[in-house]
Amino acid sequence: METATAPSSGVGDLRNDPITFEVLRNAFKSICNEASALIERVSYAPTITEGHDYSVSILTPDGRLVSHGQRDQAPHMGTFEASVQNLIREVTEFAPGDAFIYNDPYTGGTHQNDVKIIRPIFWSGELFAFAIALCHWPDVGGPMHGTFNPRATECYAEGLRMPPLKLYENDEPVKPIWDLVSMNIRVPKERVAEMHAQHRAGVLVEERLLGYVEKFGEDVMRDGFEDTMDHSERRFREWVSRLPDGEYEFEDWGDRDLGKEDEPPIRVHCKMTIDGNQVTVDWTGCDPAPVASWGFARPALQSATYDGTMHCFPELAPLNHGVVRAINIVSKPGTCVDVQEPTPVTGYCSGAYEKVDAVTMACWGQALQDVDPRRIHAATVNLQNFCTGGIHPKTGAGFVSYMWLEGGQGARAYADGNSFYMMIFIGGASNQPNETLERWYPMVYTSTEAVVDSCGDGEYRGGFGIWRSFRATGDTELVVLGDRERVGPFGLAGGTNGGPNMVILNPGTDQEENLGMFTTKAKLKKGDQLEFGSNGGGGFGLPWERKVESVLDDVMDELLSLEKARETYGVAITEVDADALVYEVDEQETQRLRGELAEDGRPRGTGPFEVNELGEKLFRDPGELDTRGGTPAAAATKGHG
Amino acid sequence: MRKLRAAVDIGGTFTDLVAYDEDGQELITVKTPSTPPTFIEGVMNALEKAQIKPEEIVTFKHGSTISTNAIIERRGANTGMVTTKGFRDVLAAGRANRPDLFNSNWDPSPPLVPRRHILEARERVDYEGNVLEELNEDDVREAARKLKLRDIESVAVAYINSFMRPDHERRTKEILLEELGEGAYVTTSSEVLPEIREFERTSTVAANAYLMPVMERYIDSLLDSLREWGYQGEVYVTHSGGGVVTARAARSVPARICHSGPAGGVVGGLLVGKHAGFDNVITFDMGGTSADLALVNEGEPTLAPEWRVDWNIPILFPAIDLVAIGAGGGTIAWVDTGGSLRAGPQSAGADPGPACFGNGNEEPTITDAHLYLGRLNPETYLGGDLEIRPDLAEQAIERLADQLGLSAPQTASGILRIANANMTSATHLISVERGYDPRDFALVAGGGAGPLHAVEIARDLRIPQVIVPPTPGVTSALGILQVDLRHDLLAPVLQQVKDLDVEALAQSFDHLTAEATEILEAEDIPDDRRSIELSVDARYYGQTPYMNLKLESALAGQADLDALVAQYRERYESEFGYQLPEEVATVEIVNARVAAIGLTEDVALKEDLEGASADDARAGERPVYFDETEDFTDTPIYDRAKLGASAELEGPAVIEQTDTTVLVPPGATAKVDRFDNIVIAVSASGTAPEAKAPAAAAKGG
Repeated sequence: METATAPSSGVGDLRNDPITFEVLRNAFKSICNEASALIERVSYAPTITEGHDYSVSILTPDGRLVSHGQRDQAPHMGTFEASVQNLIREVTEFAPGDAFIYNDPYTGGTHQNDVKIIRPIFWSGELFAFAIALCHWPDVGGPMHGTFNPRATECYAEGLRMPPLKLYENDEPVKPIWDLVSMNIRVPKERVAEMHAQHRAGVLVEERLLGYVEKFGEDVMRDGFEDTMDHSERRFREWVSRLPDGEYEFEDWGDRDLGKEDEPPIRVHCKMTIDGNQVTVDWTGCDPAPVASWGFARPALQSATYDGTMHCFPELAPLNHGVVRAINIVSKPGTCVDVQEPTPVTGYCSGAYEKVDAVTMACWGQALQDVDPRRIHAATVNLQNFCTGGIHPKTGAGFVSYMWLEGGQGARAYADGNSFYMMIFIGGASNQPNETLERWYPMVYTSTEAVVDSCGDGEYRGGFGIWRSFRATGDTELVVLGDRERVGPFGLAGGTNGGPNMVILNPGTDQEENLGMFTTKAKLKKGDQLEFGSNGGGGFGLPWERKVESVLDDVMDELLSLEKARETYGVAITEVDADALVYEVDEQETQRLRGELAEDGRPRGTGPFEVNELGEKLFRDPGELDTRGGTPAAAATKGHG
Repeated sequence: MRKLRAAVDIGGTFTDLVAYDEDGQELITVKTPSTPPTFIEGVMNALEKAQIKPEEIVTFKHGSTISTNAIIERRGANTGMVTTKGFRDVLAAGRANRPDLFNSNWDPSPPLVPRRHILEARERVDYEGNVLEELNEDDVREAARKLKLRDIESVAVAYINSFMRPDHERRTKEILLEELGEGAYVTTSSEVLPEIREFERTSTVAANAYLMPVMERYIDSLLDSLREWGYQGEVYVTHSGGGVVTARAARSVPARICHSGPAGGVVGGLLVGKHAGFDNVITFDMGGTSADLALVNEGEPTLAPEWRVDWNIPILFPAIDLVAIGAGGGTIAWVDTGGSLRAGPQSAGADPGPACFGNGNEEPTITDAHLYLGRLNPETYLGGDLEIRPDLAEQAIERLADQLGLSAPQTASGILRIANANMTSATHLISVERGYDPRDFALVAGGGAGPLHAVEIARDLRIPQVIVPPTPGVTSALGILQVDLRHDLLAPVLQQVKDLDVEALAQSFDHLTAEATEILEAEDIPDDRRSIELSVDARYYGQTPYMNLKLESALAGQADLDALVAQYRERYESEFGYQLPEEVATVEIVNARVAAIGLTEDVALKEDLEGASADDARAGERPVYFDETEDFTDTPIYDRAKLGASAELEGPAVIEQTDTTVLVPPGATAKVDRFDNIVIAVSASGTAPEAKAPAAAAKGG
C-alpha cells in the first residue's frame, strides 16, 4: 500500500466531498468494465472474443479522457482524446441516439483496423459526455488480407480510411454509410456483430452514466469528471516531484525500413526532462519517417508515451486526462513518431509503438533508480501481426484471421521476466486457443512450446518466447508485419537482449525459408508448415551473477541448454540422468568460468544489437540497487484474485 | 430415536454443523473451531458438541475447503502430465493475459505441473475428431518410465482435440496405469470435462490430478473416523455447482469439489428466501475479508461454466456464478497521495484484524468504522469472547479524518459508503447487467458483516426487502443440508443449427442419459428421487461465451430445434437488447448437457407461532450515527435471542446477536416472520432515500 501521506496540493482541491468523489471515480471505472464485458460476450471472431482486442472509454464533452475498462488496450485509449476532439471539429451538431464510426489514424487514431463507434451522451438536452467503443476489425479492406501491408508506401495501399461518419441516427443504423463500409471490407457479415456490440456498449455507458446523474445531479457528476482527472494529476505530479531533476535519455532501434533500398534500422530516441513536478518527453531526436509501414501519427505517439509512463506508475490506473495534461510531449512532424499522411501506419504497433513504449519506460527507469528500482523493466516481447486469409476449402467461404504471439517479459530489477507473456501494452489481450482457430481456419496447429535459450540473459533473465506453428490444410495467403528479428528487446544493467522474432516456412526441408517480419502475400499451399517464434524478454544485470540454482532450474525445465548455461552464465552442469532429473553442478569449474566471464567484463553475443549500449551504461548493477522494498505496484496486485 | 440429516461446513476458521430433525422439524446448530491440517477432528468435535448419536443420522453431507486450499497452498501431489507432442507449454502459457493493464510487477501463479514433468507423446486428432496421427504407445511407455523414476504420484493426460475423440487419452491412461502400477493416479481431460479450448481443459485436468491423492487420503480418513464413531451410512461431499456427490464419486473428480463453500452459502440463502416467501433472492455474504454475491432466479442459482482458483488456473466445471469483492470487516481504509479516501484492497483480516482488536494494526477498517459509529457493541461483539478497544478504533478513524479534513463521523460513514458503493456495483453486475430487475428480488444477508450493510445496498438498487436468517453464521451448512446430489455430464456438439444432425444430437443425449442413470444407480438413489435434466449450451456462431438453455426432452425434430432457436434469440434479446439477423449469424449448439440429480427432501422448518412484542427484546439504547440525520441518534438496541415471531420494530434500531449485528436504519421497518427470519422493508414510505450511490470495482481480478 502507498504510504498515506498528506497530498501536496490538499484535499480542498476536490469539488465534491472525498466520499462522493471516490464513489464516482469507481463508478466510471466500473461502467467501462461492464461495457467491455458486453463486447466480449456479443462480438464475433476469435480476434475479439478470444483475443480481447477492444476498448471502451468515457470522455468529457470537450474530449478529455475520464476512464476506461480495466482490461482494455492501452494503444486505443491513449488516442481517444484526439478522436473526440477531431469529431467535435468535424461535426458540429449532435443529437441523442447518434453514433459515429471513425478510424482515420492521422487525426484520431492508431491504424485503420481500430474502428471506433463514438456516442454523444445527453442530459436534459445538453451534451454531457462521449462514450467510445473500439474493436480491432480483422479486416478493413485494401490489397492484403487483414489490411496490414508491409509493402505499402502510402496509406491508400492499406485499407479503408473513414472520417467521423454518422453510422446511427435515433439508434438506427444509417444504411448508406453501413453499405459503404461493408462494400469495402472483407467478410463484412461478421462485422455486423461488432457494429451492434460497439453500439450497444455506448448505449450501456449512457444508461449507466445517466442513472448516476439522476442520483447525484448533473453538477456533482461533471465535478466528478474534473475531480477524477485532478486526482490523477496530483498523484502523478507528486511522483514526479520525488524523482531527481535532470535529463534522461534512451534510444532503441526498429529493424529496418523496408521502403528504402538498403533497409536501414530506424532510431527512436527520447530525452526526458524532469524539473520539479514537470516532465517533458522529447522525441525530436527520432529518425525521419520511414517509407514503409512502421511509424505512427501523433495521437499514437501520445498513447505510447502514456502507456510507458503508466507501466512505471501502475497505481495511477485508470489512465485519464489528469496524467495526459501533466506530460509535455514534444515531437517533430515528419519523423517516424509523428508521420504525416500518406506515410503508411498499419504496422504502427509492432513498429514505433513498441519502441516508444519501451524507451519511455527506460527513461523513467533511470529516474527511478534511486527512488524505487523495482519499477525498472527491461524490454518485453515485440508484437508480430499475422494475418491469414483466403477461401476455406471446406465451406467455400472467405475468411480472414488476425492473430499475434505472446513472448518473454523483460526482466525486472529484482526478478526474472515471466515467460509466455502478452505484449506489455496489451496486457488485457489473450492468445487464441488452437482448438478454436482450427475450427475456423484451414490449418492444423503443431506446437505451443517455449523457444529454448530465447531469454535475454542477466542476473535476472527475461522470459522465454514461444513457438506456435501450423500446417496449412488449404491454400492460404499470409501477411506478417512485425519487428525485432534483428534488434531483440533490450536488456539493462549488462543484461543482454532477448531472442529474435521468427517466421520460418517449411523448416528442416530443402524448401526452408526464413520469411521474416515483413512478409507479404506468401502463398501457403496445402501441407506447408509454418513456424512462428517470438522474442524472449531482455535481461537485467550480469548473467554470471545469476543464482546457480536458478540456472539449474531452467536447465532441468529444458528451457536453457547446457551450452548456454556454461557459456553465458558460467555454470558447469553435468547431466547425470536426465530421465530421472539428476544433474550435477561442478562448483570448481563454475567458479573458474564465472571468474573468466567477469574478467572479460561484459556479456556479448554475436550480433550488432546484442546489448543496448545505453542500457548497459545508464543502469546500475542490481547489487547496488535497493530492491527489497514492496512497491505500490506490488501492493496493488494483492487485490486481484 | 431422532432421524437427523446432518450437514457440516468445514471452513478455514470454523466448522459449522447443522442437523435437521425430520420429525421434530427442528434445527440443531453448532460452531466449533476448525482443526487444520486434517480438519477431521473438528468434524468429530462438532458432532460431539451437538450431542448427536451415530445411529440417529440418516444422511451426512459436508463441504470442505480442503481441495481449494491444497491448490492455494500448493500442498497437492507430485504431479506429471502427458500431452500431445509439440504442446508442452499449453499449461504454462495459459491465455497469456493479465488482470491489470499496467502492472508489470504482477506474476502469474506457478503452474500445478512444472515443465520438467510435462512429457510428450506423438498423436493428433483434428477438430472434427478424425485421427491425423495414431497414438505412439512407445512414447507413452517412455513417459511412464521417466515419471516412475521421478516418484510422480499422479498423472494428467491432456491431448489436443481429445474432447472430440477420447480414444488416445483412454489408451494412454491404460498404458500409464499398467506401467506405473499399483497406487498410481491417472486422469484424462476428456473424462474430466470434454470441452473445447485446450488450455482451460488442460488446466482442469491438471488440477484434478494434483488433487486426487490428497482428496483420497482425506476422504479415507474422514470415513475411518465416522465409521469408528459408529456411522455406517453414505457420506456426501459438496461441489462447485451447488450439489453433492458421494464420497466414492468425489475421489475421481476432486477438482469438482473445489470452491464448494460459497455454493453452500448460496443454496442456504435460497432456502432462507423460500421459507420467507421469496423465490428470487440475491445472496450477500460479508465476512472478515471479502463479500460474496450471487443471484437465485425462481429458486435456481445462476451457474457459470467455469471458475478460477487463481487468475491463471481456470477450472472448467459449472460453478455458482459468484461475484467476490474485497470488502469485509477487516478491509483497510486509507488516503492515497491524491487525497482520496480508499477502502481496500488490503485487509487486516482476522489477524491482526481491525484496529479495535489491539493486535498491532493501527489502520482503520470497516469494523472500526461501525464500532465508532455505535453500530457494534464492544461488550458482545463476536459473542463477547474478544476484548474490543473502541478507543483504538476512534484514534484510527481520527487520524484518517485529519488527513481528509473531515470530521471523524463523516470519515467513518464515508468509509462505509465507499464500501457499500463497491458492493452495490457488484450487485448491479449480477442482476441488471444479466437482465434481472432487482425490484423483483429480496436480499438475503449473511456473514458477520452482511446485515450491517444490507439495507443500504438494497436501497441503492431498489431491492424492496432484506432478509436476515436467525443464524446467518451457518447459512452455508444450512445450504449443504438442502443441496441435491448432482452430477453434470457433457458432450461437445459444436454445430450450427443449419447443419445440425438432430438425430446425432438425440443420440448424444441418449448416451448421456444412460450414463446419468448408471450414476444414479451407483449412488443408490431411489427411483422416486431421481431427476435427469437435459440442456444445451448455445451461442451465435462466432461468439465465445454461451448460454445454457433447458430442454423438456431431447430434441425430436426440426420443430423442436426451431423452438430452441427462438428461445435462444428471445433470451439474447432480453439480456443484450438486440438480436443478430439470421443471415448474419446462425445459432450454434456448443454442448449437450445432462445433469443426473438425486433430489433431497425439502427441509421443512418448524413455524414459530408465538406472537411476541419487540419490547420484550429491548436491551437498552445507545447513540448510533446515521447518514439520514448526519448525527448520532439515541437508538434502541434489541437482543435477537429474545425477538420472537411477528415482533415488529422501526428503524433506527440495532439488533444484536452472537454471530452478527443487524442495522435497521431510519425509514426501514423490520418484522420477524414465523421462521424467525428478520424481514426488513427497506423503505417504509416507498421513496428511495437520496444519493448514496452505487459504484465501482468490477469482478475480482
